[in-house]
Amino acid sequence: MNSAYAIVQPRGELLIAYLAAAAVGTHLLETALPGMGPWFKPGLANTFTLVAYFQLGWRAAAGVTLIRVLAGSIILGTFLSPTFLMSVSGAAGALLTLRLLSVVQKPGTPDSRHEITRHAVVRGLGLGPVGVSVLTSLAHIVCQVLAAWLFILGHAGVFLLLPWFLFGSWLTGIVNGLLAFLILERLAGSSLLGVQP
Amino acid sequence: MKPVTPLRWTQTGTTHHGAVMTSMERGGGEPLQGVHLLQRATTVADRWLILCTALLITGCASYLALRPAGQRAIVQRDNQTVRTLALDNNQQMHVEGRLGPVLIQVQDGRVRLLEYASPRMIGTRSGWIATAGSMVACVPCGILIRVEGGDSVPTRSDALDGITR
Repeated sequence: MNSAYAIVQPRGELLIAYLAAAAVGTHLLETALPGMGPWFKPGLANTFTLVAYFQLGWRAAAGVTLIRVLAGSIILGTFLSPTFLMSVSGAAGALLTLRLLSVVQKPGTPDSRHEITRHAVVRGLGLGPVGVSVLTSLAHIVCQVLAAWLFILGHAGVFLLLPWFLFGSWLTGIVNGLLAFLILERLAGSSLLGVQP
Repeated sequence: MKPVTPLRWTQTGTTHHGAVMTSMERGGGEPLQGVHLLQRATTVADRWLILCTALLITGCASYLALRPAGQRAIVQRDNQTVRTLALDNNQQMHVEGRLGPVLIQVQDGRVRLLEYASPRMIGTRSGWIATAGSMVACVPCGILIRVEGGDSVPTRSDALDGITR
């Protein structure tokens, strides 16, 4: 089935641009959402980082995340503020996890790009979008708590809140992973990926 | 050459082998049903990971739940202790934060933080805290309140000693 389609030109940059735009938009919309309880933010924008990771690899994911964090903070006026610091440290944790994961499991090859995601990822650890999302989400919150401890609060008591943070990010990790899966499923076979009949 | 047909989640799903099947074959009915979606979207490794992380988090949470009630609240501004409040004494006071005054209320052995100018009001929404070791913080204001028990923050073995004694 794969050989029926020639990959004319992988449009990686185009997809990164689309995903980054979507991520920035989601980031802004999410900020405008009414509160969902203290210390809780769904992090829906990270869905697009996951999509980039599974379609194009961790470099693309890093691109989408950095564009989102920078553009989002400039638009919201939080650039270089403590909020920005938390945002960057969370993103750094998630990207580091993606980098480590990309060593043990390659998220997509030119041949498998237009397949449904699960076929492209079942090797190495065999984690799909949901598993990767949960891991990165947990790494995200752990790095944020570390940053809050090191740079802002300075008291190790902040770690006492960690289980609640971890639970929240576990939940959002699953939800975002499912959303990423649905997007990847829709993207499969799309001409955006450079797959042409 | 065959044209590319985009897969739609409302109509189709895929098996492990990539075969396309309709929602009827999949069990039919409404698209996006939680269980179906979870089954379809996760690999075996994903499910194990979800389970293991859930157990780990539950373990951490129950570890912290063994803490006894606190006796006093320590108020810190930029890592400096500015006030120590006994929790058995109902009172309230203003402490100057980076964004202006912050109200700290002590009532019935609990303490809470009410901020006025914080962008997300996380400290206020955290509500009352009462157990030793718990804390509430307004990061933009630079204010942190933590509750302490006896002479020091009790460790888990202290708490277990208290139970078995």
